[in-house]
Amino acid sequence: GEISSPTQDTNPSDHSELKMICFQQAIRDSDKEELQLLPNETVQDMAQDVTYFCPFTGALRGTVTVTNYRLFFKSMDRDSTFMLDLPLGVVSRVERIGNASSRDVSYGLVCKDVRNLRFAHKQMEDTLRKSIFEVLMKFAFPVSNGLQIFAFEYGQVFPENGWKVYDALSEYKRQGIPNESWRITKVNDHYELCDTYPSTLAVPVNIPDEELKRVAAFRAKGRIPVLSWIHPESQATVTRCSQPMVGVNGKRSKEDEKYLQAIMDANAQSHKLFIFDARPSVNAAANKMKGGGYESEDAYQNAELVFLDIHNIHVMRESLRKLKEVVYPNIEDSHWLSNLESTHWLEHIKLILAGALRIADKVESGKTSVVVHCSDGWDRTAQLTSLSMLMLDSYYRTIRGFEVLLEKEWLSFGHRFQLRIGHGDKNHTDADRSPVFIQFIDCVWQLTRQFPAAFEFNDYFLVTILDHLYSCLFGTFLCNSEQQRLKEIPKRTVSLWSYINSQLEDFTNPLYVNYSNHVLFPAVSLRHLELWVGYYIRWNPRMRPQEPIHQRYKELLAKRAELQKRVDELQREVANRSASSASERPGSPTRSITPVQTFV
Amino acid sequence: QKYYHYVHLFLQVEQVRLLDRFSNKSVHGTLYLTATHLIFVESNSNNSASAGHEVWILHHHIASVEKLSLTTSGCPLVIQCRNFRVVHFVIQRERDCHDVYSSLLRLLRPVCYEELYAFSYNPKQNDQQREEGWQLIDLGAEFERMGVPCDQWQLTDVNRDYKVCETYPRDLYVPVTASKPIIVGSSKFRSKGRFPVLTYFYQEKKAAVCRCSQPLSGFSARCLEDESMLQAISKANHNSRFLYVMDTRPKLNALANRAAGKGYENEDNYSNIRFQFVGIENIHVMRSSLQKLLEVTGTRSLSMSDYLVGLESSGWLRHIKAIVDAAVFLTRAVTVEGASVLVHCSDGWDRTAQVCALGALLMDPYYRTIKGFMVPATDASYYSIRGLYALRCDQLDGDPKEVSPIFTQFLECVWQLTEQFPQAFEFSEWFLLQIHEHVHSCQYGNFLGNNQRQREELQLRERTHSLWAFLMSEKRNHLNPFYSPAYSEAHPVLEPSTLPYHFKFWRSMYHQFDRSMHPRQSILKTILTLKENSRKAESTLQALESRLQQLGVVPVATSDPPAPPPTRDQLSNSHSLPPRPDSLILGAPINHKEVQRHEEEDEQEEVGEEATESTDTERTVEGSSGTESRKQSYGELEGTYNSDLVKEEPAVVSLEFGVARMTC
Repeated sequence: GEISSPTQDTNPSDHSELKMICFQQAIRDSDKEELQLLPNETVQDMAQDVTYFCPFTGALRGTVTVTNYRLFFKSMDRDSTFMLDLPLGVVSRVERIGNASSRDVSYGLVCKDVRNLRFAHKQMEDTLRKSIFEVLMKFAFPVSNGLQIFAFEYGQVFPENGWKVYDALSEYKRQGIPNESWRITKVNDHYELCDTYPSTLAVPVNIPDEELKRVAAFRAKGRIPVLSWIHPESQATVTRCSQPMVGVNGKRSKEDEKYLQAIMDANAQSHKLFIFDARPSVNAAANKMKGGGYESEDAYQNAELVFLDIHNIHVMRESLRKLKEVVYPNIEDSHWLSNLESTHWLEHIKLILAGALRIADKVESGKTSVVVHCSDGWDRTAQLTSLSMLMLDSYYRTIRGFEVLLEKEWLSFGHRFQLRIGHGDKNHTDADRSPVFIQFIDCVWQLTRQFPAAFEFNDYFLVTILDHLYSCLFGTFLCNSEQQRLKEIPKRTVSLWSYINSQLEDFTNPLYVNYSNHVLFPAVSLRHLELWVGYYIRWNPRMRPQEPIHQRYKELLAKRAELQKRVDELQREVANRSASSASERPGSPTRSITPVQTFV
Repeated sequence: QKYYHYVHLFLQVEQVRLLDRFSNKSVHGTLYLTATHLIFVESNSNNSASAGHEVWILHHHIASVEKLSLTTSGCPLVIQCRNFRVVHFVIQRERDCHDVYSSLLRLLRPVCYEELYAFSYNPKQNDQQREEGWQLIDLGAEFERMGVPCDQWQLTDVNRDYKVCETYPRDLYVPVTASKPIIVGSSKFRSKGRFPVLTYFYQEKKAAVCRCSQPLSGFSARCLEDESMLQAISKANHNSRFLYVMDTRPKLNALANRAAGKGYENEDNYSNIRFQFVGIENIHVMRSSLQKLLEVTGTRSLSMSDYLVGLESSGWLRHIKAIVDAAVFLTRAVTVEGASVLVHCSDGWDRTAQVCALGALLMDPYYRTIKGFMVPATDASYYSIRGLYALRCDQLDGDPKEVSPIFTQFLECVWQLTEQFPQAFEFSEWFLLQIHEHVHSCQYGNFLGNNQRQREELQLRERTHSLWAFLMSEKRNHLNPFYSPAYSEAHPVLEPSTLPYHFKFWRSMYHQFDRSMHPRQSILKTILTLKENSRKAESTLQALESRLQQLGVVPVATSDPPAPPPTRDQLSNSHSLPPRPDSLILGAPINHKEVQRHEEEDEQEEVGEEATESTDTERTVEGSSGTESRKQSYGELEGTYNSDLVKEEPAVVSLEFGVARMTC
């Protein structure tokens, strides 16, 4: 069972319509025109004579199949077969459109991946029979219907085991932790200190576990400052936490103050500590009403507080909603840029990148340790720490390194994927939903645009991650925290990394050059940021890239590799021959041959 | 010894500061003023990486000089160039500043053609070489390539003495059935006498693209000869019953022209035409649009909203889209419907030229090669029939109302296409930038004069050099590494999408001199380096193979491949004035010629630079931080490639394969 690209309108006869990012995948899809069931995927219902109103090519009549994993629509109306293959996890909302008296019933599917679909079929003659879209609703929202998410049934075995990609201890070890200033604590082994944190935490050496508990009492949800990353040379650190519980009365905590001092002292290079509060200062102040707040510089000696002006999850949700309106299905010709501006999406991207850049710059150039928090420390904080780590540490720019980064900063530190995405939950108006993670991936994409040779992965890798963020095929993005995930997920589901790591060549950037110690400082100027058209506007067939340029890269690299091989062979042969004739002539003739370096 | 030490200096001013447009950085140096250039040389500071940095500005490139009011640090002088360079000097003494200002004003405005740089520029070529350069473009051969003359189209000598139309070239192609009286009659009914002539012939469908100016129809005038002329064009194509007439203006403008006795074709009077407006704005709108664009993008600190809204309200990308839309319409009419199309605007030399040239580029893969691009970009459809060109680009001190970025727009349209079709063009962005640079430099004769007649009078072919010869000799620097001839074969006709997000701000053009705006890592450079490595591997292969053959027989040294004979440029390079260093924008991809010179000059510097980049254990910063709190190295990947190359044994590496910082 191959996994088809989960979100692809495939038109098998027309290769020029295929998107570059899905190039490999699409070729595979085009070989088959029938629904290929995954292991344990079962057909739930089928309906003939369903009309799909494609906003780009017009109405198409065909057959709909609903399984426990997907909706599959196939139409032979046109010269070429048209197919739509949609994992049900992508569906955010199903609504019945039109009145009961009409002869046709129409259903709108609002999707999480920036598109809406509309179908219609004839009124059921047998009134007891359910519409296929009512069947779909049952399987699209398994959590609300007491069913199991498909990831628990999908039993595909891959050569690689993605659950083994991340191990907290070995990642800390890679960073050189424990060392003389930082230790690994087991205080959260059973998630008693903080149930949204991982069990393995790195903290300053001279703060005993007992004190950690008192610090936890002063931090929202007990999310104490812990180490995310340490600079290999200067020992400056990136630490993350939640807001301090200052409240309206300006409460202080001796333990918390001492703790931050300890973080500063762990870095001998600087006598200063920067606290980056991701929020706008107004929001941070407003949080005091709810018992939260921010560190006052009076209480925290040698600390400097900086607000990064990044807005909350509700603002971001609204921004993406507007963006969807602007890009799907049609784009208004005359006001494209001002419409784009009105969504503020790029502005948010810019602020996040600018914040991460300031953090990276303080650590790299200023050799100063930083503490990053927002309110709870699981949304904006995760964006900032992971982006700055991506700038600072080239390891995270490899495919495996990036997986580790996600596992660590996002999954283990409790970014609430279940709530933010709403897997299998029909409650589409839930105020907890927000595209925080999508924003992060967008920022990563912006980085890859500016440094096309610095990342081992390609666009397709990022798109695949986002597609499976919704698909519910893999267990990776289920649940809200390590504690919730720990019990069943690795045992009963497949990791997205199993799939990706089993076919790395599809996700590899051919331009990648491994410079181990390069720090990336991107330009966060608006002139360098652009809308990720390849993701947000990919449903528009006019958005098709004209040419699969990746193919050209690969050809060039293959040619080079082949030449290199020939050169090596010949060099060996020359060396052999000259060795045999060396007795006749002095000197080392092989030195006259230029070694051809392998850069890529 | 530097060039500016030899030539006659008009002025030399010490202690000048050059400010960066987008950051707080500035450098100190000396300003020189020569007959042709303004040169700024950075004084040697302790910062070795940027020591000796030079800025060369050709007087012809300068669009405006502005003296701002005196500040505490000195007297500011802002110079704006036509190639979108903006330099901001601060000169310590006001007197010096005034001297520079007034000398520049005097030097800037040549009053006659003979004062243009092209007439003094001498790349040390002999007459034969120069002649060869001009022969690169042969319009007759070009029409032959398209299959003209044929049974329906012929060469007419009606304009032999430029009598019928002064702004047209001598050789014109018209339908076989269009007799001289018809042509002459038609020309009298057309603005400036520019009657319909063939500009591109789509052989596969026998469909023609013709161009002309607007008819002098006013509210009701007719001209039977003109009607027969259009009929003849229509009849020359058996594939279609009708002829498209494309008026590239907005309808409102065309209507307004009627009051002045001009206007557009009345469908009732012409049989079998389909009339169509495509709505490209006039030169005045385009000029102010570009002005607005530059104002927006030149603003130092800009919010995302201001940027996007400003970009949109400048209308620039919308105008670009309108031109591409028109070219797409033209292409579809010709290649899909097989219909002939007659294109005009008012005088038929701005919008008409843009649309015809771009249409030809979409229809014919030949024009998408380096050699072929000369045709649409020059004589065939653009310059020889275009007229008023000098005025549009402001080469001579003309009416500022007639200056317009028509050609910049054309190049930008091409660039937008290259972004959509990375494999379809043989040339890279760099090629387009070079052409743009030289359209304004007046260094070559190609872009001087308004029409063929004037150019013959100026004896340009005898007295100046051709840009295309220069570009062809530099061909390797202008190649697009993604170009695939097989792609062009499979997709002879390009069908670009003109949805608004396909039109992007061309940063490399409008910020080509703003270093802080340059990409941190360029894919183009990476791929070029890759290709360069492949080529090197190939040469190593050859060397190894020949060595295997010769092993034990011939000494080591002679196993090197023979050095290629020096090219024209290499020969001329040592004698002539060096091409302006470092005005070479954007860091030319891999500039082979540049490299050799740099080697000689900068050997010592590079040792230092290499030391900062090559060690693998040292952390290298790419890009600049928000606070710019430390000295940064712009770690272009290429730099690292090359520092590796330095370590190599140079023996096998011939000049031909020279890459930056290689010691041969």
